[in-house]
This record gives sequence, structure tokens and C-alpha cells, in this order.
Amino acid sequence: MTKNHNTMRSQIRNALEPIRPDTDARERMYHAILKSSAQQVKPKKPWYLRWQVSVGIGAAAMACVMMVIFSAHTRLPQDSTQQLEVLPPTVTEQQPDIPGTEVTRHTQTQTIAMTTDTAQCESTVQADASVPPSMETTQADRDAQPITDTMAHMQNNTEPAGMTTKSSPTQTTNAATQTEPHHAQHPETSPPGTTMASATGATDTTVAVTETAPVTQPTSAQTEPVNDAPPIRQNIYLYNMLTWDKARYQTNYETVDSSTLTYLGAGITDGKDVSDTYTVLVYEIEGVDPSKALAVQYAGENCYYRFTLL
Amino acid sequence: MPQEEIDFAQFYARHVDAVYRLCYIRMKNQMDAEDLTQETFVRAMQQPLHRWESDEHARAWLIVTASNLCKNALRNWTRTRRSDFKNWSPPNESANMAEHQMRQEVLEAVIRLPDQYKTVIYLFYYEGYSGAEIAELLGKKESTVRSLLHRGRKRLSKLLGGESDDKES
Repeated sequence: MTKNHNTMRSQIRNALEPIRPDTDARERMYHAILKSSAQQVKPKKPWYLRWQVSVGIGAAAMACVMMVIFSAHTRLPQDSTQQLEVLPPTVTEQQPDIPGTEVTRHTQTQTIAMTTDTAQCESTVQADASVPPSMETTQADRDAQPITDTMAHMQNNTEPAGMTTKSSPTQTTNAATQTEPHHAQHPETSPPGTTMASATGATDTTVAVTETAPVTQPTSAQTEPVNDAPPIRQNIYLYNMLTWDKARYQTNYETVDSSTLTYLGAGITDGKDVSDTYTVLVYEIEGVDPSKALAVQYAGENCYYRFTLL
Repeated sequence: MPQEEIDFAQFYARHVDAVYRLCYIRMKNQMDAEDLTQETFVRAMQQPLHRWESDEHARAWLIVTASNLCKNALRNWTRTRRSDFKNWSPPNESANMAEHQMRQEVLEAVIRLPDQYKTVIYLFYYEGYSGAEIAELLGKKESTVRSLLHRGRKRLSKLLGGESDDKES
């Protein structure tokens, strides 16, 4: 038994003894061991080095966000005025306000967006409500005033000469409007781009669709101003200089009673802080020489301001 | 060269053959045996050399580590199918041709043994460990080791064409 054990032991020893790596394999294994051991022993980076990429990316993203916020903030007006407020499109049908008058209008106004109104003048009344009673004039008596400001389009205020009309300053300013004059017995259409004062007398008409880019303030009584602060654009307080009949007028925004006014025509105002103009309606004040003082209604406003000659 | 590297080089030279041999008879091919020998010594290098009380202790640690690594490696089915027997002793070096043939037959018989018997046979007959020591090394009961030894011998005898020595204890 022991002999068998010893025999087997010697046989197995003899058989397994030659199993050993050759010199090359020994060297190869030894270097591989040292190499892999050196890689594992390599000291771990400190946490701030391990996180530096993530922290850097995060900081860059934060900086971008801050820059966007800052740039957006600097573009805002500094007087706490409000932003454009986009409203869903509404369709307002303007029917003739006073039945039985000679004026027939059918204006379809599609409001795309609206701006906020000023604090003083709330346009909660209908368009005709702001018309002074003494505005009955004939179109022939009016002088057409060139209006260069295409931001606001006055429409539907022309009529054939000799017709008596009740002029109704529309409340549309900076409007994206679609005016679609209909065939009527007394058509009162104006081609695109004309103003209230231009006596075009277009009759029988083609369908003229006017669409302007600026934002509109709807004339519907259902629409109320969202905020009291002046809008970003067309802030009337920036347009305090009137050019009328080759004379310059200035206002300190003193309001005038509408009952004493007589409509003269359309004019433009500007200001030293703005580069564009604001279309206004010009009125004569009863008992005041028009060459010295005038009343002005900014398009889209219900208030009348006194302008005095410079 | 630092002293640590010198110590490790000596440690490697003393034990690499035993570790390689065990890995070879378990993995049955040179490439895997080299890989696992490397891995065993990499693990040893991560341990401080003074961790082992003696050289025998270190050798036992290496054998157990190599055995476990081989067991893990053989879980991959592609490795279980690799077989690459090498003629470890060329005939011209051997004085007796019959003796060389006998060695090769015994080697193939050992390598063809199931894994559970192979390690026990190797540790008992080649490394000279007792049944109790093998049981301690492999974490098995001594009776289990005796049983494995007995059945391993039986299988080996059968593979070598001899009679099984069932009566041996």
C-alpha cells in the first residue's frame, strides 16, 4: 500500500516536474506583474481633480445662463414698463356705432397681439365714444396731411366730398389688422397705407386687405387693458413734439376737454428720445388760436392733450 | 533597485514554478496558465511581504489564490474547452524512451482528472501536503479530502490502465 503510494507519488512528481515556465515566459510574466501592479498602485487623484471636468462644465453652463438672463434684463426698459403680451387671436366685428348715420363701415379686425395701455387712458369704451361732438366736418374742408408713420393705419374714414360724416378716430395702433371693406351703398374705403385725413374718395371698391406688422390694441369694449403702465413701444410720453402746418408745438400733457374741440386732421409727433414718429389727430381748441395751441389725440388714446407753439 | 523589488523578485523566483504548475494542470494550456500566474502574483504584490509568517505560509497562500482564480476562470465556458498539452520533456533529453512515455501518460492522466480531484492529487502527491493541511487550504473537511484523494487515485489508476487500489486508505 505504501509502496503503491510511493510509486504513484514518484510517478506524479516525475510527470509534473518538467511543467515550469521557460525563461522568456518567466521574464514576460514578471514584467507584466510589475506593470499591472504599478498601474494599480498609481495614487488616486484628489477629489477636486476628479471633479474638475464636471465642475467646469457646470460653471460654464451657469455662466451661460447668467449671461442670457443679464442680456435679457438689459434689453428691458428700466422704467418698469411691461412686456409685449401675446394674446390668442380674436376677431372683432365693428358694426356701425350709430345706426342711421351716413357712414357705413364694416371692419374686420383680427388682433394678433396687443400691448398694454397707458395708465391714464383706458380704452374700455367703444371707438365712437371718444369722438367729440363737434367733429362733424366735411372731408373737402380738410387738408390732407402726409403721414409717414406706417405703424398705425387709419382706415375707413374717407368719404366722397360733400358728405357729412361723423369721424371716428379708431383705436388701432401698431396693429396687425385686416381691413376688408365691403361693397356698400356708401362705400368709405381707403387704400392701404392711407390715413384718416387723406381724402381719396375711393368708391366701389375692390377688396383691400391691409395687414401691418405692428401690434394692435383692439377697439372692442370687451378688451380691457391688462396693465396700467405704458407699453414698451409707442409710449406717448416720448412723443411730445408736434409738427403741424410747418410749426412746432410742444406739450406738457395737460389734458383738454373734448367738448371744445374741432377736428383739423392728422399729424405726427416725435420726440428727442425717439427716432420715429407717432400718428396723432389734431384738433382746434375752441376760442384758442390754432397757431398758438392745439389739442392732440394720440392714436389709440382717448385723452386730448394741449400742445403749445414753441 | 529598491529592496522591496529585490524581495519580490526573490519571492517570485521561489514560487513561480509551483503556481504555474498548478495553473497549468487546471487550465490545460500555457496561455491561461501564464495569465493566471500573473494574476496570482499581482494579488500577492498587493499584499505586504511581511504579511506571511514563513515561506510555506506564502506558498500556501499562493496555491489557494491560484486555485480560486482558476476556478473563477473555468466558469467561462470558452476556457473549459481549451486544451493544449505540451510535450514538457523532449525525448532526446530523456535517457529512457519508455520512461518519457510513462511521464507523458501520467501527466495527461492527471490533467484529464476532474478539477475536484486534480488539485487534491497535486497537493498531496507533488506538494506533499497532508490530508489535514489540504483540508485547511481548500476549506474542506478532512474526510472530504480523504474521499477525494481516494476517488482521484482510483480514477488515475483507471486512466493509467492499472488496477484500482480500492483497499488503500
